[in-house]
Amino acid sequence: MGIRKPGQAWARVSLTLAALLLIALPFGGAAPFTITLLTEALICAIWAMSLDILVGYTGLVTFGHAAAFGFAAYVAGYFAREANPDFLLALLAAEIATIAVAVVIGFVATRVSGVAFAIISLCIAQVLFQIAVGWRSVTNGMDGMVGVPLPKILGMKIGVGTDFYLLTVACVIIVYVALARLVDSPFGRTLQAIRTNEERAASIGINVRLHKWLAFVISWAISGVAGTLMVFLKAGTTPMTLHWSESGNVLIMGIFGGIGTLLGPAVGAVVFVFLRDEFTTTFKQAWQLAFGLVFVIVVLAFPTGLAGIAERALNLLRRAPFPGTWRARS
Amino acid sequence: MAGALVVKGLSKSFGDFRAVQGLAFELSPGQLHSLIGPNGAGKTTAFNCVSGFLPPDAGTVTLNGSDVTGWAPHRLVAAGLARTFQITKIFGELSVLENVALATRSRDRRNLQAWRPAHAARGAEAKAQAILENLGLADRAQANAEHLAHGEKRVLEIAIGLALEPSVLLLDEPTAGMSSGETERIARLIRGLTAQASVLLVEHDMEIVLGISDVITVMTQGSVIAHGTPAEISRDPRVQEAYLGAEHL
Amino acid sequence: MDLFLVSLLNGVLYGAFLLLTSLGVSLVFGLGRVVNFAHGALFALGGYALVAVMKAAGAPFWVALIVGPLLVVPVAIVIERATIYPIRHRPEIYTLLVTFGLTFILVGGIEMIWGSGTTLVTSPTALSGSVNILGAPYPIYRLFAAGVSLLVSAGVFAFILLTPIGLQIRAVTDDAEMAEALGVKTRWLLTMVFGAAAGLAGFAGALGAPIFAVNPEMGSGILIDSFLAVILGGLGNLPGSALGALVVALTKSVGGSFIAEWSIALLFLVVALALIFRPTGLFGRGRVA
Repeated sequence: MGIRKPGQAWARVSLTLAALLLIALPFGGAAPFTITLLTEALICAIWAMSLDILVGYTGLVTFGHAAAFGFAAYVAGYFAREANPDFLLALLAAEIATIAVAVVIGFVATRVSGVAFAIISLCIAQVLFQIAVGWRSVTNGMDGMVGVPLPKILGMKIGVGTDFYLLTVACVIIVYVALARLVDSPFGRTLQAIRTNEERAASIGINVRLHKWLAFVISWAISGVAGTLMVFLKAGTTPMTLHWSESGNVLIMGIFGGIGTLLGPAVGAVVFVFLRDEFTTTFKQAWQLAFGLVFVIVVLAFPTGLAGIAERALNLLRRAPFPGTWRARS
Repeated sequence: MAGALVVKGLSKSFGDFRAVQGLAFELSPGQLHSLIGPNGAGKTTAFNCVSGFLPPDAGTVTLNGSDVTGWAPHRLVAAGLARTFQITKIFGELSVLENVALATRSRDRRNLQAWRPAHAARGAEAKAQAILENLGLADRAQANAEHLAHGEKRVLEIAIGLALEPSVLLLDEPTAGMSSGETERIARLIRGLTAQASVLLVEHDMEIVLGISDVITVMTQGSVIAHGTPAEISRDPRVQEAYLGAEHL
Repeated sequence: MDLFLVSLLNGVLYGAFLLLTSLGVSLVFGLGRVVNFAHGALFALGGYALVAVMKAAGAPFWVALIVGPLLVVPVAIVIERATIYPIRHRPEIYTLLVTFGLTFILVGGIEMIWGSGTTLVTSPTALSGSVNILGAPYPIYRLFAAGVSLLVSAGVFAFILLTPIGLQIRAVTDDAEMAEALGVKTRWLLTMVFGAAAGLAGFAGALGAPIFAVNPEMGSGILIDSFLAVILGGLGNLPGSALGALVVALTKSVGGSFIAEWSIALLFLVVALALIFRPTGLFGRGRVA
C-alpha cells in the first residue's frame, strides 16, 4: 500500500508534465536542428542514467563507460546494415552482445572496487577502442562505420527529425520508469547499502559480489539502448565513441547532474550536450581545456551536482525528494 | 541443534605475527559465552575468522553441525550466524528503521527483488519496527541513524544483528565507548538475548563479562589461557596475572 | 627469430621509459593513496617543455633535457596543493576524478599553446645514427635513452633505500599515522614526492621526444601502461612496479610484432587474470583499493 506523501504526488505530476512537454515539443515550432540536438541529448540522458546505476547507486566509479555505449553502437549498426534495419531487432542484437560481454567483463571487474575498479574499467574501454580501430574489416577502423540505414519498426520507416525524436522520447520514458522502479525496490536498496557500507552489507546477508556483477550488467544493458539509438541517429559510428574522453563526458554529465538521483544525470546530460554545442560553435580550440576546468571545479566544489543544489532548495520547501533518491529526512 | 558453534584449532598469522594460535571453544544453544582478553590477545582476529571476514590459516568452524570454515559473510548469515561491529558500522544516511528493515528484507530473501517498491515489503518493515520496540529504539525509528547518540548506535548494531534471526549472534565489544550507566543497560539487554539466540560475546571489560556470562574463555597473545564459569575465572591466578594493571579485576 | 629479438629489445627499451613513469605512479600512490591520472599529461608536458626550451631559448638538446622536466615540477606542485591536498579526506575516488579532469586541462592547455599536431624532435647529432645489432641498424639514441632511464630508475631506488628521506617515504607508505606520530612531515613529503614523480614523468617525456611522436595525446598510452604495470606489481610496491613495467612493455612489444592490435587484448587478459588470482598484485604486499 504505502501512503503517498504529498511530496511524492507532486513529483509524479511534474515528471508526467515534463514527459508530455517533451512529446509536444516538435509540434510547437521548434527548429529541426534543435530537435536533432535534443534527440542526441536524450540519448545521452539514457546513457547517463545507466552510469548512475553503477556509480551513483552501487558506488562503483567507472572510467570506461564509453565501452558499453560504443560497443552496442557498433553491434547495432553492423546488424542494421548487414542484416535488418528493424530497430527492435537491431536493439535485440546489440543487447544480446552487450549483455554477453558485460557478464564476462563484469565477472572480472567486480572482483575489485574503488580505484582498482576505475582503472580496470578504463583498460577494458581501451582494449575495445583498440579493437574498433584495428579490426578494419568489420569496423572500418578510424574512418568509422558508415552506411547504417534509417531504422524501421514493424516495416514502418522512422524518418529523421520528429519520428526518431519521438522514438527516443519513448525510450527515455521507458528506461526512466524501469530504473526508477529498480532503485526503489529491495534490489535497488541493496545496491545502495553496498555503496554506503560494503562490509555492513555483507554482514547482513547481502551477496555483495553478485549484486555488483548484476549492477554492472544492468548498467551496460541500458547503455546498449543509448548506443543503438545513437548509431541510427548518426547513421554510423566511429571508434571515438569508445575513447576515454567519452567516458569522461558521461562522468561529468552524471556528476554535474548529481549522481545517485537518477534524474540528476539525465538532466545533466541534456544540459551538457546543449552547453557543449554552444561552446564548440564559438570556441572549438578551448573546449578540452574548458571541459577540464568545469570537471575539476564540479568535483571539488559541487560533488552533489545540480541535484544536490536542488535538493537543498527543495528541503527549504519541506517536500519529499524525487523518486530515485533515498535519504532519511531528519 | 540450533545455536551451536564449535571452533577447533583456529590459527591465523599476518606474516610473522601469529595473531591466533590453536584457538578452540564451544558455544552451546542458549548459552552466553564470552571471549575475553587484553588488547592484542587476538580476540578480534578470531572473531573475524569465525564471521567470514578473514580466512583462517588453519582450524575449523562448525555451525549447527555444518562446517562453515572460510565461508563468505552472506553465506554465514543464511546459515544463521550474525555479527555486530566494534566500530559502529551502520548505514548513516538512512533512518534507523531502514537500517533494520534492510536486514529483515535480506532475511526474507528479498535482495534480488527488483520490481516492487521496497516499502511494499510490509512484513519486513513490521518485523523491523517490532525489533526496535523490543530494544527501546522505537521512538527514534525515523531519525537519521547518524544522529543517534553513541549508546543508541551500539543498540542499533544489535538490532540489525537480531533482524537476521540468527541462531548464533556474535557481538564485538558492544559496550565500546559507553558510559557505565549505558553499559549496565546493554549488559542486561544482551543477557536477555539468549532467549532468541546463542551469544558469543567478545569483550574487553571483565566486570560485565563476569556478570552475565555462562562460560568465559580467556585469551592472551593468540592462545587460550583459561576457560570456565565466571566464578572459576575470577579465582584463576593466570587470568589475574594477564590482567595485571587493568582496572577491571 | 630476428624479429623476435628486435621486438624483445624494443620491449626492454619501452620498458625503461615505462619504469620511470610507473615508479612515479607507484610512489605517489603508496605515499598518499593518490592515483594520479594526470601522469600521462605530465609526461606529454615534459616533451613539450623540451620543445619549448629548445625553440624559445634556442638551447641545445642537453640543456633542454634537464631544464624541461624541471619546469614540469612546479606545475605539478601547484596541482597538488590546489586540487589534491584539499580533498585528501574525501574517499579516494574523488582524487582519481580530479586528476582525470586535470588531464583535460593539461592536454587542452597544451593544444591551445602548441596546437594539436605532431612535432618532430631530432635526436642530438652526437647520438644520431645507428649501430648494428643482429645485422640490423638500431638507433644509438634509443640505446642511450634506455640506458639513462634505467640509470635514473636505479637512482630512484637508491634514494628510497639509502637516504633518510627515502626512509621517511617508506615509513609513511607503510603506516602513515604512525609515521606522522613519529614526527615525519607527511604534508611536505607528499608534495615533494608528487613533484618528483612529475619530474620523472616529464623527464621520460623529454628523453623520449626524439623516439615517440610529440603530440598532445602522447601521454595516454604510457598512462594506461603505467597503471597496468603498477596493478600487476601491486600498488605501492616499487620492485613489483618495476617488474610489472617489464611485463607490460614486453607483452606489448613482442605481442605487437606477432599478433598486432590483439596484443593489447592479451595484455588486458594477463592483468585481468592476475587480478582474479592475486588481487594484491602478482608480487603480493600491494594494495587493492
